[in-house]
Amino acid sequence: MNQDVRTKWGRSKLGGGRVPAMAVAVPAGLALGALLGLVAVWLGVAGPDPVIGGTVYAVLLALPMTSLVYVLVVDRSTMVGATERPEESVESGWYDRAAAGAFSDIVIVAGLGATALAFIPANLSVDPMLLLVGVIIVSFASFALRYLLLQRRG
Amino acid sequence: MRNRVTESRQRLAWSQQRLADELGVSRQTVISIERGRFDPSLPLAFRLAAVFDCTLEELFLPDEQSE
Repeated sequence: MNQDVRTKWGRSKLGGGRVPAMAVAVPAGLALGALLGLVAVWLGVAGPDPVIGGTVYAVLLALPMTSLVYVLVVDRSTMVGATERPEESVESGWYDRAAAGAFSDIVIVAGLGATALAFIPANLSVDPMLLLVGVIIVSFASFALRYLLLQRRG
Repeated sequence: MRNRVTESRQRLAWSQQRLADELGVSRQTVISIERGRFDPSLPLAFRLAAVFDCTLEELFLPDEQSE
């Protein structure tokens, strides 16, 4: 991709690389947020007032959905400052090592957690959603910390 | 593994950014290679050698030969 067509937010992989990625991500993210708001109302998890509940769901999910669509559609080579061969850059090595380390941490934490849960009394229940959130937080924290340490070492 | 990337780059009076642009990698990659913190992939090592018009053996040295 030519240097002069690079933009801050990059261009979409769709549309032959001419469409700005945000022009795809923002409408799609808003639409997905609205759709999930409707799904929340349909499932009855949006509270007693379906209009307010559905709107809250739609508004709160619009940004994550926009971010998700952006990550999926953006052609990173069209962003300002993008390197020609990112896979050969040191940052790629940091990413791989941090991801591998985070995976090991998840296995260890999940194993220790499962062992600990085996010993809790039967009358105490643990919300599985909290466990999943915990796994996600551990994986994010582990990856971020490992990447930062590798970056500091240079 | 040690290398002579810094000397070779300075001989051409290139900045680290200029070398990074020539190689298609980030400036941090050049910094890490020069510090000996990052061993480049074989294709990148060959491109470095081509940029500096030398052989891999002249550019990269095993640790025991670097002193």
